[in-house]
Amino acid sequence: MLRGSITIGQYLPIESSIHRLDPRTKIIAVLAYVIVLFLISAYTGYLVMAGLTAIIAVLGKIPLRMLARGLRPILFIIVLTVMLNAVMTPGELLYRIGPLSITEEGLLQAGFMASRLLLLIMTTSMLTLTTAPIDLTDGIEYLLGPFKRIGVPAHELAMMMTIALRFIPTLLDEAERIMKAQMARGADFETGSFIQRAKNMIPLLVPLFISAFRRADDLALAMEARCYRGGEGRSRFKVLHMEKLDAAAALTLALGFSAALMV
Amino acid sequence: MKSSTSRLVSIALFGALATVLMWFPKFPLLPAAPFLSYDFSDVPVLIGTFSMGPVPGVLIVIVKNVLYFVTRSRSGLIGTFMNWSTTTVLILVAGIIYHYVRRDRWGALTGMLVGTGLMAIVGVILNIHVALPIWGIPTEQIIPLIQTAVLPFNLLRGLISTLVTMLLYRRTTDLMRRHFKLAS
Repeated sequence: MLRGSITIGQYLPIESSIHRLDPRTKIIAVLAYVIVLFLISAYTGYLVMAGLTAIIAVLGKIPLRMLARGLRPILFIIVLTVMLNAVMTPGELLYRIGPLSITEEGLLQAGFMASRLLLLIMTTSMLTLTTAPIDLTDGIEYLLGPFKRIGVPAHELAMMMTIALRFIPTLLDEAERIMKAQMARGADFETGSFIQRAKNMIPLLVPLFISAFRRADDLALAMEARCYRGGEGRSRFKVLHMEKLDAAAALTLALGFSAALMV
Repeated sequence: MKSSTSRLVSIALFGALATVLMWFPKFPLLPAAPFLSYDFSDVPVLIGTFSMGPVPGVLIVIVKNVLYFVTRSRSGLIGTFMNWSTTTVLILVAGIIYHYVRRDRWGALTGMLVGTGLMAIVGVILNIHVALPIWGIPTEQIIPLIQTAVLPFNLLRGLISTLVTMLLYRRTTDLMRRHFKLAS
């Protein structure tokens, strides 16, 4: 019931040059993309950014369907933005529908905001489409490394995320099993008033918590038995390396970003 | 507190549990604003905060939001950021009151209620100054919508999480105490 509708991660496991990029390159690239997107003040800049997004999508062999699916949840907000901007911006009158007046400036403004949102969502979702979650957490650990000096627990955070990722399927299975067991005893998770539904969750949550506690205890014991004692001097199974491909990607993006900001 | 490994693993497991609960079928609280939907992910964060402290609580929220973002981001970076910041306010207030003022059921309840109030206020401020400008929604005209949607949403969200956490609190404290050797 839960597993059917839930795939762990949006990651598309295929072979492409974007998939092969170092996760650090991709994280920094997406951050830079978002910043540039908010600095742009002209339509032509968005055309350049859209071109970059299209190139990444083609190189990453991402099906259009997947990108469109990522947009569905924010469709409502995009429609709201477009409508509000079209109606609320003062300027030259184009149409009048009852009390609402649509202005030329309003339409331009609406188009501007909608393209920004579309590009923002598509590009950030491409990061998770082309990078496995475990590589992303690895990349985050490397990128947070320099901040260790000011007390950011980079290794611990990455370790927690890796452990959590590993246990998500286990906990999902368990949640499903407990739900079925409670439903067989007459529990009802889908109807009733809000407060009632919240209360109905208790027979599901209590066993889930207890099992999470128990698993945490077992795992901590197992780790200590194998002499785990934090990040200092720990060796890695998989070491991240920057390659020529990353340099090429960085150069292309730098050129694209400056073009987008100039025009 | 037991060893730091036990603490690290517990934070990870609570984070995983919160992420799983974020995937559960969500239900919109207010018919007027379908993009604001409730999930039970605040509950493990609160229980984790009460059993380990405010700082582990903050870490659980980070784990939850990063994992949610890398596995199935629905509203992307902005939604994740809004969820992260409001939840952090809630658990920091609740955790500090519980751990430094009164460490019992009433401390937990007071902490969560005060936290809910502050979370609702911070939610409104962040919506006006961060989220709406990014979504490109003109702010002045939308303030009534914020007052009628965002504020009650965060209040309701906090109250429901408080209710569920209180119902769970009694059943999990014994276990929590045994695990984390809390002085009661």
